[in-house]
Amino acid sequence: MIYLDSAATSLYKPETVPAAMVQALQQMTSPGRGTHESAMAAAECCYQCRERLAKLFHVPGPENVVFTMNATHGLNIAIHSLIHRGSRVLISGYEHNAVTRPLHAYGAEPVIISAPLFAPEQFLREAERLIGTVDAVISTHASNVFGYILPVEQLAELCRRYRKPLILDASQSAGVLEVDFTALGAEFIAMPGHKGLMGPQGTGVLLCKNDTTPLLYGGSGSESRSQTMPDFLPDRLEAGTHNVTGIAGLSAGVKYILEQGCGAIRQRELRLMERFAEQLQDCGELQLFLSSKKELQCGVLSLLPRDMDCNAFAEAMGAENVAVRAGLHCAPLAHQTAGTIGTGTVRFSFSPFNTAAQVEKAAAICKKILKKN
Amino acid sequence: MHYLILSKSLTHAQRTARLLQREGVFASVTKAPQSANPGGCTYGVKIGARNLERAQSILQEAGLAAEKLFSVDAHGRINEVEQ
Repeated sequence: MIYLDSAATSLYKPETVPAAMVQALQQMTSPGRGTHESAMAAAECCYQCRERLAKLFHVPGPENVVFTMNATHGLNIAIHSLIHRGSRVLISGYEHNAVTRPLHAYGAEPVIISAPLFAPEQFLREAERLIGTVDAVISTHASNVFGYILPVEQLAELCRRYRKPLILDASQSAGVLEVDFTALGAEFIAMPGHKGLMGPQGTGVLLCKNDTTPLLYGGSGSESRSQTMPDFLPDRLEAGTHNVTGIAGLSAGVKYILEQGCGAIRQRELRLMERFAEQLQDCGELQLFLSSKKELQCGVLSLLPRDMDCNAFAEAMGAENVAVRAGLHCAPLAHQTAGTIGTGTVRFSFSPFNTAAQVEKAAAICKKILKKN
Repeated sequence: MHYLILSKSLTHAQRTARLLQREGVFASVTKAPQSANPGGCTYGVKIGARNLERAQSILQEAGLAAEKLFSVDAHGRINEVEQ
């Protein structure tokens, strides 16, 4: 199989990831629940993972790195901490349902920065026009549908200037783009462990400052006599037994990224995406959502067959052993903004472990399917 | 006899111990005796008596000064030490 769905979940991982998970499963129990060897091995594993994440994302201390189940879980904690009924929240026009559904559930009023694809200046002008009227700002770093990298550094600067708290969704950027928690000054940055960080499904990370509201309540291994959650991180937001096996895999994935460097990973993904797009440039039956500026897109490319349903196209690719995703990608707002809400798109997303031969073959299969149709 | 630097959480204890170890001070994370923390379970960092002064100065410089410090005798009895 040629796997080109890494924006959903990375399938190709460094060999150290499953090895670390097997070791954790066999030798580790639960951190903060004792001082015997297996509990302390788990504690060491979790702490090491926090340290690696703090280093990768420039977080002041490992206690500000909170483990979650996925990015959605982290975003829910962040929104629960900052947003209330009636809050006006400035969001990009490329948000995932992981942001828009919690906002809807809390009765918040989303104020959408509606700017076309790959138009960061227009995005920032619109953000500046609206930011004075809102209580908080939430933005994705890169669109999960189009790979569009939003100008989050400038947006964060606006937030600091207008004193608005910022929540950043780094689901598509963590492990690929530079994400600097301290420089951005965001209140929260949420990310999954199972995409660019190369960890397993069921892992996620929330980087946060100290002012947080728990979403889950339960045992934390600390302040046990109190019936409220501890007032310190990470215990405040980590109720219940940790996913130590997953965290061990995540830690190995993050170690790999620290060794390789985000820049090198991004360059490799970009080269693969460009190679793939080159093969399809002359194909009139397809619309490619490709930016002419490299700095505006990560390794995620949507395309739209002109005379074929997206899901039928993805299914035909699957029948040829190429894994891609079609539809709305849980981000109807992004499609609304880009004008593809009626059709959806077919998404190809690249991993540093893909090869040039794989992407060339996938492009050839695309052409074959369109010809048959 | 040894000393116990009380930490508010396991992660905090690990951070403290790591810092001391990096500076060459032998330090290990341990669960604190129940009597050390009226709030319930917590962890602390164990250090040898002869390293106390150096450890305190390292932690102070890093902004991780101990909230509470205990001396622990051979029978595990603890006494809070004024800082």
